[in-house]
Amino acid sequence: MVTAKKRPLKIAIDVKALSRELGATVKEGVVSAVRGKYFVKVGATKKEVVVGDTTPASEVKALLGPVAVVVKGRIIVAIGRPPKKPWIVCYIPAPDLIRRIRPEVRAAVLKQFVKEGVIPDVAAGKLQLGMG
Amino acid sequence: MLPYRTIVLELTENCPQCCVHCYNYWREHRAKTVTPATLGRGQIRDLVRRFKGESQLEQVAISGGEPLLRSDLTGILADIANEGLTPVVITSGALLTPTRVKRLPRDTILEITLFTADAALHDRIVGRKGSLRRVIEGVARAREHGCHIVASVVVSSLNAHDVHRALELGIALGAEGFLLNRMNISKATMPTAAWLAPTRVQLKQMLSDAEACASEYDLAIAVSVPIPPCVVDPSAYPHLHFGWCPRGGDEAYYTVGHDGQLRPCNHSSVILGDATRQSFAELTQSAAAREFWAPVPPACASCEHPLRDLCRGGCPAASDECYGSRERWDPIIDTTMGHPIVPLHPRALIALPDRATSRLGPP
Repeated sequence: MVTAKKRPLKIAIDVKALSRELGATVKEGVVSAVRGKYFVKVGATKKEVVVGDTTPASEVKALLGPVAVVVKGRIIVAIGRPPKKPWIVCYIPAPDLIRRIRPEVRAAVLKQFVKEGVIPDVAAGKLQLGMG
Repeated sequence: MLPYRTIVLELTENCPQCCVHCYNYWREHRAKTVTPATLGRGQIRDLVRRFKGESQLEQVAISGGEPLLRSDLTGILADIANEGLTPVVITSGALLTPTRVKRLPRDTILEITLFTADAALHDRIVGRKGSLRRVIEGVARAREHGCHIVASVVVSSLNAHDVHRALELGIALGAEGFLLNRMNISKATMPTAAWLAPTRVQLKQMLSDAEACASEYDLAIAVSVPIPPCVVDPSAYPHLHFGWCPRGGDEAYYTVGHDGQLRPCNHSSVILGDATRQSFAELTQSAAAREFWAPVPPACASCEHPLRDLCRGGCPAASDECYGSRERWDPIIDTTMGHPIVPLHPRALIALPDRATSRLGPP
């Protein structure tokens, strides 16, 4: 497995999509840093990730640790964040799933429930304040 | 260092509601809000601190019964926050009175249970008149106060048709997170499970409605209580996040009862030991804990579904409660196939009187 010194290495956002596009495989690897140089290890193979204009050091640095590596034949094409573990949570709210809904969408739904008499006007007023 | 990031603390067994699908094993003989055995604020603080020291704890789910019944809840929440942890209060929402809301820390996460936008049906499910109105008013106060809301829609055969509206009600109430849980069958609901548990068709309807809602409103909806893929294949619902029992793994949420007894999870009545006297490592790594999670139903051995290693027969606690054995698959598989739930072990035959379900008949 090689990363040719002149060959630009992609820092992939979506390794799955890239691997599909290239007909490549995704393997687990680890990015490490030793004396200012970066290395990617896949299985028993460890190769330097040459940083430069096309592969900025800051982006490689952000990937230190476990990574997903796109491998085509014997060539490492790209590295990216490892795919998330299967999501396991039963019953307890997952902080990852807490996100805000667009205020205008929420306001429209609220208005409908007020119109139907499910949510009283007083409560709706407080809910609108709470949106702020 | 234990890998667990979440623990559930049940502050009390008491609850003013009488939900028809309630799985708590004490539901028919619930203790008063505070008994001599109930842990006080100081004991809870010590327990949380100790568990934090032994694990990667991040989140403490405050449950019950109804935790808002505890007069020292605000102090308990403050203690948890002072440890750098996030408390999440799991509540019906019906007791979010002006006085209680004022006392809550402003950024408290409240997980409230919604069943339907139909007030009469909601009240029928929880066994109290005016309950939905109280929930709506309470959540409005909490939102105004600065609390965060997670809406948990629990589905039985009674409300499976109204999931879309229930989720929309959650949106209107300012929810930022959504759980969609099918009722989990327990010893207490076994006698009525044949008609109360959602059928396969109803589960599909509930998931289709949630999928449509997630797509339409860009919601993240967690389907938390496992639905085995042999009952409904989750791949048809790409916008939903399906959860599986962590079975004692990193995502496990061991549960401490109001009296300090540690259990494998909130669904189980099995006591692993006294969390006030024994370390969490000792209890969670014990032979009893390992044995609890180990069995995979033999009937699932031939399953070829890609999710079989996550599913492993569904909820082992539900199997344990209903059949007295975790060698049997989740009882929802039996009810959706029209099979009766036949206990395999005498422990499951100790029937509980059923107060909540006796007031309702099949729809």
